[in-house]
Amino acid sequence: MPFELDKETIERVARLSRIELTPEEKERFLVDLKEVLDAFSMLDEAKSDCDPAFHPIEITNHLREDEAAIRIDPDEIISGMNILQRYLRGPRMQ
Amino acid sequence: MTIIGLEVHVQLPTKSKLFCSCPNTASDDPNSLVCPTCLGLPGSKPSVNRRALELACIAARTLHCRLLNKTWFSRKTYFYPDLAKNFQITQYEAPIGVDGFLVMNGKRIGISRVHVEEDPASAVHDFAPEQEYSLLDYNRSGVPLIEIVTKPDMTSPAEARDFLRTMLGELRYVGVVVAGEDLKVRTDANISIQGGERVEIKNITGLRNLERALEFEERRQMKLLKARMSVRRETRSFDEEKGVTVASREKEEEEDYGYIFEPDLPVFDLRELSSKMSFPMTATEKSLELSKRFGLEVADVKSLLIDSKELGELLEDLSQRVDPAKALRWISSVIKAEHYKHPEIHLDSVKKEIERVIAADSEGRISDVVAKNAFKSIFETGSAGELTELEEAEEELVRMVAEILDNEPKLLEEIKKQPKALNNIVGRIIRQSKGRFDSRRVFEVVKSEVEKRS
Amino acid sequence: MTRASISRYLEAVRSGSLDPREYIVELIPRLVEENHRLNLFSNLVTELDGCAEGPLKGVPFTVKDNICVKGQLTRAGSKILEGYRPPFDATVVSRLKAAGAIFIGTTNMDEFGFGTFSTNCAFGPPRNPFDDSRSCGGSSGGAACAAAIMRHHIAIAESTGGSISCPASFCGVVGFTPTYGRISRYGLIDYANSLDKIGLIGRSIEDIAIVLPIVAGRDELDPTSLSQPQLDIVDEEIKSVAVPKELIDSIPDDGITHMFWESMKKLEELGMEVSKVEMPVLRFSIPAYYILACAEASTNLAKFCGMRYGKEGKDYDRMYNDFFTEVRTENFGAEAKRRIMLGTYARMAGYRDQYYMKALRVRRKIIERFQEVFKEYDLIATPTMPLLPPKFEHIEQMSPATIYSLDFLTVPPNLAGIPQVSMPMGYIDGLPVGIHFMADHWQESKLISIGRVWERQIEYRFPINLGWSL
Repeated sequence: MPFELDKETIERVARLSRIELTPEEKERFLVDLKEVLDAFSMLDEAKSDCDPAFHPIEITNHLREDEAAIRIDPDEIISGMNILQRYLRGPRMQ
Repeated sequence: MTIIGLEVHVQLPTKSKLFCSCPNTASDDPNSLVCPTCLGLPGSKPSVNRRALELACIAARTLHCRLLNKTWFSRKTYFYPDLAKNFQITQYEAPIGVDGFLVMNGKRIGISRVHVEEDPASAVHDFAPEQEYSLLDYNRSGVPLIEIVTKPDMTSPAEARDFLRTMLGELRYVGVVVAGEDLKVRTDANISIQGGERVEIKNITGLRNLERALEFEERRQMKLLKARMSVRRETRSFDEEKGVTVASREKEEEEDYGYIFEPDLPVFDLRELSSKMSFPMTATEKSLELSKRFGLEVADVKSLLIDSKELGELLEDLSQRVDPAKALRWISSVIKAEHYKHPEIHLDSVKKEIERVIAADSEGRISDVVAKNAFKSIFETGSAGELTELEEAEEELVRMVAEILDNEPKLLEEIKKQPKALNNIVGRIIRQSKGRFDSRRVFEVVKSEVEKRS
Repeated sequence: MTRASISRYLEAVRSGSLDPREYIVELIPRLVEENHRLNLFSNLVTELDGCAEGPLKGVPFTVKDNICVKGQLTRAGSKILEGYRPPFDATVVSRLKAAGAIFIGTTNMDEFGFGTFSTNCAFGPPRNPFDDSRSCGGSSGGAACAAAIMRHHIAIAESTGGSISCPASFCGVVGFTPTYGRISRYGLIDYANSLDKIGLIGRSIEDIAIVLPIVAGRDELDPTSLSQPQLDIVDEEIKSVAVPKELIDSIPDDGITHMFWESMKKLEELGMEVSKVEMPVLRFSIPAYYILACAEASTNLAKFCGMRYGKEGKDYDRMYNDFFTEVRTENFGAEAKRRIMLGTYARMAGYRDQYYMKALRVRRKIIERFQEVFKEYDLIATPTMPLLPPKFEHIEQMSPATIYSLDFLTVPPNLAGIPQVSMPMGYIDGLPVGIHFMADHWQESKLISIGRVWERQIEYRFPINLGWSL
């Protein structure tokens, strides 16, 4: 299983992660991650003829009853945030 | 040939949000119905609302989907200010139901899947002139949605709109959608002209805008193809004001959502869940039942039920005591119109009067006109008043005509010269009686009285 | 005999010979002083709350910096959470407070739990109390250091791949990681939700036994905690111990291996049967673990983007992608960036089946093998770490791949979510070495039992002892 970790892929992954890398960092991370993925490539040999284990223990079916409740005062929560007339501020979306 | 597929998002009418107990209601105060979970505070955890899953199962079944044995949630990661955690908890490999359909005008529209997901926050962009930031209200964040994905089986904007209206009607009947919430429905529509690329129009609100957006986009694509240019595969949005679709402004790189299983939540056994809950009858099932029971046309009954569950209940009740066909006829027409005009009147409170009128009609004792006016009167005053019975009415009409003819012998001479003058008398009587008599009957009586006197 | 310090403390409080407030007020300046050298605290309280009447009345507790304490700075060792004060207590914290315990501070850690030596802490690494040129281990380095230097205290910590066992081993204290789902994770700032477990670090297994029942148990706010059976701590007879051949044979340090086999001999002398078992599937633990952990972590860390809390982005008058990218680039450490990128890659379309889905299946295989072994043996044992606490200058020269590979003893049980305890088994060149016992899911009772047996025949050494001798 050849992984294709090249500079272009690193750049795309960084963009997807909303992280900007300097050219030196790109080089450095490429080396680091290649070494890691190389070491991990032995995973291909593992038998995997079974269902995925989403949790290490079986957890099924816990559902919450549909009742409205407010446990913490919302005003307390937003008081520490950057608000304008109760709206939370964020960067431009358009 | 036009090919259209839809992804419809509908908010579920639960008391609390999908993953937390914050109230699922409207509020005038932004960020007043929030908690650590729907704000995505570090350390918070989701917890699934049972009723939301139940409603999703009801929706899936109503749309003839096969329910999966097991379902779970997934994280769809992308960065946007209205997404509290910068991932949406949705469903990917394991939705609630798959492979359903809806029959509309004899045509089957395929439903690929129905799944549950959380709504993002709402953003305000026009707070102040030259606003240099966005403002977010997380009241909507975490509200439960179902997403219904159709197969690309629709072939015109009008058909797409009809489909959406029909589907919402079915879902309203079983309580998955609240009446009057149609405007809140958000649809992503995919449209292509056969042989061309597919364009997605995102976030269209309501039914009318869906049709308008698709009409514009269909014309746009046809123009391009006629000019031998190609349609680019892209995502567009619909400008409601201008009535046009526009390309996304930024040349945005395609996001890779990198779906993973939501590790804070369990796997759900839908077979167990669905065995423990009660499924309401769908409009289709109910109309089959009523039509069999009362000998009515299925399509007519269904059309009524889709329009209003309460009118269907009225039909079912009255049909046990009066002629079902008459009941259906009146409920589908005048009564329905009056019911919508007067939403404050509960059908239960006027049921008896309605029954009285329909009974009189069934027994042939009153004319259609009298019945119509009676129903109007019921909704306006609570009572049908005196029902002018047909015999009575007939006597009165004859008297009226006789009076006019006897007092104005000139009229008879006019009619001898010009037979069409008869219509003037008919018109006079109708005006005088304020439409209380059937106009055909008036004509017949006038004619016969005139003949008697010739 | 290793002393059970919390129970002595509680006795003194009940008898009236010790006033908790007075005790802690006296303790804090000593901690401040020690902190200048060892840098174990992210945050120390300046005011004390009152304490409730309860089974832990007056007992001071510290909390790893990734566990929310209402109104207190909780930063998960990262610059990106600068200034964050949660508006709620984690469930583990509220249960401790309700039992009368007193919060005194948060302990330093690798940023978001990413690390084996706590050197990825944005506020500087905690230093080993045995030798301050060496690491405390990680990622709960500060917590283990706190337990090592303070009498009569319990440290709340967290483990994803071994972050309780490793620092417990390096700092010569007892680190207890319960079964996944045993202690509610509500209020834990997530690293990897299917791997994170809150646990305890203290000076003796008795201290653990007193605190565990109070913090464990179902919590409606964390659905993954709702599947646990009742926790019953009873004295269990341990008859057989298995040693995984592949793990023990991979340890390069002969001193550690030798000390381990001497310990196994002691157990045999006490009547237990010790056998080597083959668990070849465990060699896939590290890749499966890191892929899953990083995949989940890369989504957990998406929420940190300069909005709502923590470090605020500089200028809202910019498109959102630029705003997010700037604050994340400037405030995540290098290891955090590496793991986010590795995790994003493992989830990407085209790689997802090969990495993420594959790792999920391999996890099941590993759990199945553990369960087969536990059918025949009460416990599994290994040394906790394959090396002595390293010097900081050596750590700087290690590549990420090398560092990841050093977790090969702790990652398998963590991936399988089984309970484990690390206890000091001896000292080499004055530095502590830990032994690691593991039991099947929900068998915390067995670990406490072996811990009691263990502590009857070893005396722990603590380099510093702050607080009164009782």
